Amino acid sequence: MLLIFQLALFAFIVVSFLLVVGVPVVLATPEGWAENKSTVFSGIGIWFLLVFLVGILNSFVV
Amino acid sequence: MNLEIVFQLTALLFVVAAGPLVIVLLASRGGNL
Repeated sequence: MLLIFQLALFAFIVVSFLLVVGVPVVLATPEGWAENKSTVFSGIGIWFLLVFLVGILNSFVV
Repeated sequence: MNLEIVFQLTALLFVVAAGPLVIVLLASRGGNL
């Protein structure tokens, strides 16, 4: 269970970093929002899923 | 050296590098800086 929690937390950190860098780049690139809108929404969806997954798994490892 | 310190410094490096990375990527893609 600890390994799953650590993997989920690592994935959460990676997705957060990609969103922190990617969202402003997409928004400030000409035609970037229209071309990458679905990717940004998918990233945000995965980010929220990981928030709750890490929160639930946290109660199993502490 | 303690492994936790290495991880924390790596995380700090990611946070610090994120800002300039946005600028570099936007400059290379002709973004609206």
